[in-house]
Amino acid sequence: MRSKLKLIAWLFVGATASAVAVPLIGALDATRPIALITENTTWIVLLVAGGVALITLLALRDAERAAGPRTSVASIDATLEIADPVSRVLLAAPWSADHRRYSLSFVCGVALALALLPIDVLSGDRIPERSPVGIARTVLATRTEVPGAPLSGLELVAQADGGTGGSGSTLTALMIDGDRDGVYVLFDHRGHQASYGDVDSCARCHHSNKGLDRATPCHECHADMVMETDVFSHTTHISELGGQGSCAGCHDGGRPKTRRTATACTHCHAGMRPASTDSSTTAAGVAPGYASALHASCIGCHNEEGIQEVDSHGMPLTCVPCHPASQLEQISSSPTWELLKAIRILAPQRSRATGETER
Amino acid sequence: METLLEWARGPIFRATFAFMLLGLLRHVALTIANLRSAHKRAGDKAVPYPQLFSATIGWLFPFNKIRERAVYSVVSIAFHVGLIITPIFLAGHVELWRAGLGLGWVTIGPRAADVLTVLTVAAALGLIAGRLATRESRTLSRPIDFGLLVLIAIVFASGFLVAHPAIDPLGYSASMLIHVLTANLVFVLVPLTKLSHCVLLPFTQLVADLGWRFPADAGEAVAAALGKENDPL
Repeated sequence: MRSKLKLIAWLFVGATASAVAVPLIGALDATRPIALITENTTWIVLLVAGGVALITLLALRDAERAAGPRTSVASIDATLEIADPVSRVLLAAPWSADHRRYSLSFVCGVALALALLPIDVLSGDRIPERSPVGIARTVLATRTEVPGAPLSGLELVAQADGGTGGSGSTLTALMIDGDRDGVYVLFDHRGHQASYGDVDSCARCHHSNKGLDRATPCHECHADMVMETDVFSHTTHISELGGQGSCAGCHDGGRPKTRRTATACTHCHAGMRPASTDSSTTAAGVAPGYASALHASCIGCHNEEGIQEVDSHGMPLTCVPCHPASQLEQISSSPTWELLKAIRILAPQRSRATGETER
Repeated sequence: METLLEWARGPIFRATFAFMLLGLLRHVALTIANLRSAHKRAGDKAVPYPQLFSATIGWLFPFNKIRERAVYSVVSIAFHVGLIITPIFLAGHVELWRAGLGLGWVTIGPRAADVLTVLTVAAALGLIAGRLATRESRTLSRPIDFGLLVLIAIVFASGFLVAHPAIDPLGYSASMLIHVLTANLVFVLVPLTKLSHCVLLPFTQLVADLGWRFPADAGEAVAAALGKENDPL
């Protein structure tokens, strides 16, 4: 019995060690660091819990054996010596009594593991660290027309020497670099404004605005580089609408109170979402990460105009010309890029704030 | 309060629910293992399965037991119906399972849930009264017997307040915190107390039957121990 248990324990320890080692080795290999961890973590949790529990069992067993022969479960014959001489009924705990204790430690181990491990480890999703987005800067740039290329190239004018970055015409552009990692896009805001139809065209891109505002900047809602932002304050709405008992103002009493079943924001905030906007919005009150929101917005429109080609995931086939060719190496080593790849930002993703699949 | 609530319905819920499920599984596994070893040791190995099965069904749906203590039996059945149906099929709970794990099943309407909840709380109070009513049941009752009923009544009453914030004197967050924490406590107590009968009930008749069987040579052993091997029976 003991040797069998020992064998099982070693099997568990071996499996646990390899389950932990494989992704760790994978993590050292910079080309595929995250996928292995995300796909195996649920199993690792169970194996670690099992391994820890079994080691505890063996330690407990040894402690009991050291305490005296009465608790030995070496064999039924040995325990028969402490059976009642009349009935030969065992007075000592039957062999399963030990299992009772051991299995309890296993149950506690798994429960503890589930409590202590963060939810992203359990679900296998990678939840990135927060990286707050900064406002885009207005910079001087030069435009270079490249013959045959779908877009004209913009180049940053170096401020220090006051000279021009290229030989073309100078203009002011937005330097979009949310997390300030040096990977930026120069965006000709005025050019877009002019070609869309000036002031009235703001709503085409600025698809959701704060009260009275006609062009709320992207970073106000898409406040994190890759994580979703909850732009809806439940607490504020409760106090504004009259506290306890005001639920019926937004929630239908006959259905579970979730974001999906609540009254749409635009029901009360009519001006929040202009009718003429091009952008689609996702789950109510949830803004996707800055990078994916801007990618989706730019790629969608550019693709419609036939300027840029995308693959089956909606990913542009080349990062150029939006990201200058000189930055390509920087992009591929950017932490944001790794995160975007890791959480498969461009595939249909589940909204963590609502648990709803966006369509 | 919100942080505490997130903690109670996040990691603590995961731990207590896993503890309950695995703990119940462990009970079943240990019971089967013990039954096997009892059967192996028993001298008389013939088990009257049909009788045990009908006895189990008789206790699972105790309609012919009602006559003995009519009021107590009816209250007890009502308590069990509300206790099992309400938490499992409440639309709000199913929505949480759907959001968290993508699981979903049929739900009951809010009116039905309200009726069942009130019924369960009333039945729990009725069972407490029933235990206090006679000297025999008062003597047989342990503190935990009352404690579990009070605890379950708190879980259901706070759940009712959460569903009806308009009449909630405590406020949504406070009621929800009480609801979640007491429910977590119930999950922990399920495998540790008599609440485990939710999975062990099918085995009780078999345990009672096999547990009292002597080993095959028990008679001779008794005779030998008494020094009466050769005495006629």
